[in-house]
Amino acid sequence: MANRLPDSPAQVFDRTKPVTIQYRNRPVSAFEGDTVASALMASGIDTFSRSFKYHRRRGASCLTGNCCRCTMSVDGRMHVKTCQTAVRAGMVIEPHGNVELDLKALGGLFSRAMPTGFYYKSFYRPAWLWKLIKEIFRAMPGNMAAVSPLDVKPEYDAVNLSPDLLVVGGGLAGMEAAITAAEAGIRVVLAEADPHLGGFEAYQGEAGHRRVQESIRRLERFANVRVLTSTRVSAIYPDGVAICIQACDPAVKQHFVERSYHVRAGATVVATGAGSMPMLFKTMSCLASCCLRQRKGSCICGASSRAKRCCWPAVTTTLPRWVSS
Amino acid sequence: MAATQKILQYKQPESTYDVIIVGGGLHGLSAAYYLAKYHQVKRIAVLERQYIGSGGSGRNTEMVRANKRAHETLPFYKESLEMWDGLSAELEWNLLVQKKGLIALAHSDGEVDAMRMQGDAQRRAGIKIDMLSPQEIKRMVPALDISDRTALPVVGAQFHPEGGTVHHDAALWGYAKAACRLGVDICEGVEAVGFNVEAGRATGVKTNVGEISADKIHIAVGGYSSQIARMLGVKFPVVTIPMQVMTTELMAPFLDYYVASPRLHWYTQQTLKGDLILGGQLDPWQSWKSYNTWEECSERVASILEYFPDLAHARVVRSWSGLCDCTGDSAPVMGPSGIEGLSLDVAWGYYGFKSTPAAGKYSAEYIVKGKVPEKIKHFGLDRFFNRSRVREIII
Amino acid sequence: MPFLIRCPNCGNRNPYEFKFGGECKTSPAAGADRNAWCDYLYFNENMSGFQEEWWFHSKGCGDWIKIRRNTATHEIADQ
Repeated sequence: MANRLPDSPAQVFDRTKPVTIQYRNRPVSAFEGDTVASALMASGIDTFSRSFKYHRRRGASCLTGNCCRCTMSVDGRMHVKTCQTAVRAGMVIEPHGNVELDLKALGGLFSRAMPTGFYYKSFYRPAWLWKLIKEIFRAMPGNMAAVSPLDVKPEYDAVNLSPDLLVVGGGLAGMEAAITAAEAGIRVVLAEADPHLGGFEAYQGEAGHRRVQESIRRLERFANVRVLTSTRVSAIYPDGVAICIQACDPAVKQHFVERSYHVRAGATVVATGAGSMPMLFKTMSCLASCCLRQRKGSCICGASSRAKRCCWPAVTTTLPRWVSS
Repeated sequence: MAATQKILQYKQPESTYDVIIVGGGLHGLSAAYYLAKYHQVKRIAVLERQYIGSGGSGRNTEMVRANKRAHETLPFYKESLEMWDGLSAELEWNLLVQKKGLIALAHSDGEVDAMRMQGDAQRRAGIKIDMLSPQEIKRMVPALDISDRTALPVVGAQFHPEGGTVHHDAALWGYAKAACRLGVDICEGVEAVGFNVEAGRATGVKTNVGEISADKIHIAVGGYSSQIARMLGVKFPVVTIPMQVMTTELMAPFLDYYVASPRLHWYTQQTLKGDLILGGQLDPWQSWKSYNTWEECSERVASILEYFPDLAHARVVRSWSGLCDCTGDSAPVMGPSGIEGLSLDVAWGYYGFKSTPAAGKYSAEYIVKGKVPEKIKHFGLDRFFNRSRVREIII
Repeated sequence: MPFLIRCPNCGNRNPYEFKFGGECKTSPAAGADRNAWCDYLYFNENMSGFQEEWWFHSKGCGDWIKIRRNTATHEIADQ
């Protein structure tokens, strides 16, 4: 704060709106309108980075984004020009390397032995010397950004898979097919449109639930089976490409709402099981559907016990007797 | 600076030489060095119309390797790869050789099979080649994404442990310096504009500074070979295509190997300085212009970013391109030209850098002895007429 | 001037919409020998300067067009 100039009509930051950012895990007070560089300089930080060869102290110099001496890691992004980055509450700033106490700066004591291009004229005899020296050189440059795993990774919206077998449908039949194939050692992709495996059987009371869990346990043992849930096989083209659309998990940070898997499988097993289809009637005035919604002109005949459980009350009260039998 | 002037001195050409080499890049300078050192040729001139290394020598991605496909050419590439090891000591100049190992990724079973087959031929030629599983690749390159998050997941790789990098400028200066010490005249700013050919025999070069006569003339002009062909009234079996390359900002060491995806047209290595050199694909059309396009830059970056997702915030800092004179069989043209006394070392496409030592050595041998050395006999110009094109692919 | 190719059907387009079809060459006359064919197929003028060449508008109208382009400057004649 002691480094701030007095108020001026030309200032672009607002002293009435304080903002706190984090620098090396310590809070730094700033104001709205500050750049990261001005905030750090105001709080007394003058070394922003170290020079490439001799690790000399470097501060913000040009303040217009040209000198690249003020670059730091900002919210995990490497080499951000702090002089051109506005502060935001909670921003995390880290210098690249140890800018306060940098032992590599001692190399400067030997600068006379290291004129430009000195390494071309040395270290090539004996043969093993260069192999050793080059590893030291790699670690020497100043202001280097570490490459570390990102929170949210960039990704493509389509993935190409080439398994030996594609199984469409993750009910008991589909899982059994996948397990049999996996036991033979071939690569399997299993696509299930629901968020969970199990299909019809999962709704058959406790016994059905147990059978499903047992199948899932057996399936999970295989490393050569890739299970895609929330993935509907939307089309299988004549040239053998199955387009599977997966709804992305909102709990996992991803760039897409949906992704597609383009599967070119050696063989395909379709195990989509039984499902309810609406029937069309000429003189219907009432009906029921799996989703408890009423629609004119169609009704569900209870092929699915799922339908029975969800919709039976609606069906019995609204359908004529001869339809519901 | 005084010290630099002693290392390399450029000369004005004299009126006659034993050998004139047209082209002052890596191939021309290495041929000059081997002529002087191993064949004791006394009067050699290297004519360079711009500055030495202004062509492909100064624009390549420093990759040296021998994992090519055509088995008949493998002994040549293997020897060239091995020659780099002793060159720093021989030339008394540190070429910054790093035999870090090359990993060529495969994204389908077909590619793995092809790599296995090629590996067999490569191993028979004495080149070390291994196959890697995705897990092994991940241990060697932790930043590589082997999951099915990528559009074409990695299913394996070919590992070439003796492949790696050599500093391209250092190689150029090393050869130039050594050639200079042995009395070779390196003449910058001298452009060949024509040739004197009498009764089917080349006797001299016409230049912008006068005519120079010679017993032997050697052409090593890289991507500009067709311009020489025109002066000779012939055509070469090449198309000149640019290749664009770029570098990123400096990063702490995270990549120890040269990683390539031949299928997806990207390859990258991290230099000692810490930046990534990124390349991978020839331009889609013939051009003699050295330029860069947004389409190429963004496509190359997108390809590598898919497999190195943690580089999302790294920036491309610089880009350039070089000219590649490419033949249909991805192999060069070396040896006789059809004109007596005129030898060729052209059509090196995008594989000229790694071949520098062997190309220079065998060019020198051919120039002096007049007999095509065994290891380059598959590179003859006449192969296009007698059903013996090299069975190489772009790899 | 940016490098654009004028397709007679589509107007000035980004060259990346096209596929390069090579320099225009005269194919050998009927009954030509093998050498003539090898020369035609493998050997090129590979001009540094103006040349006639084929371009295929693959991401456009699908037409093959001939243009005269300076390969060293990308200037296109008569556009």
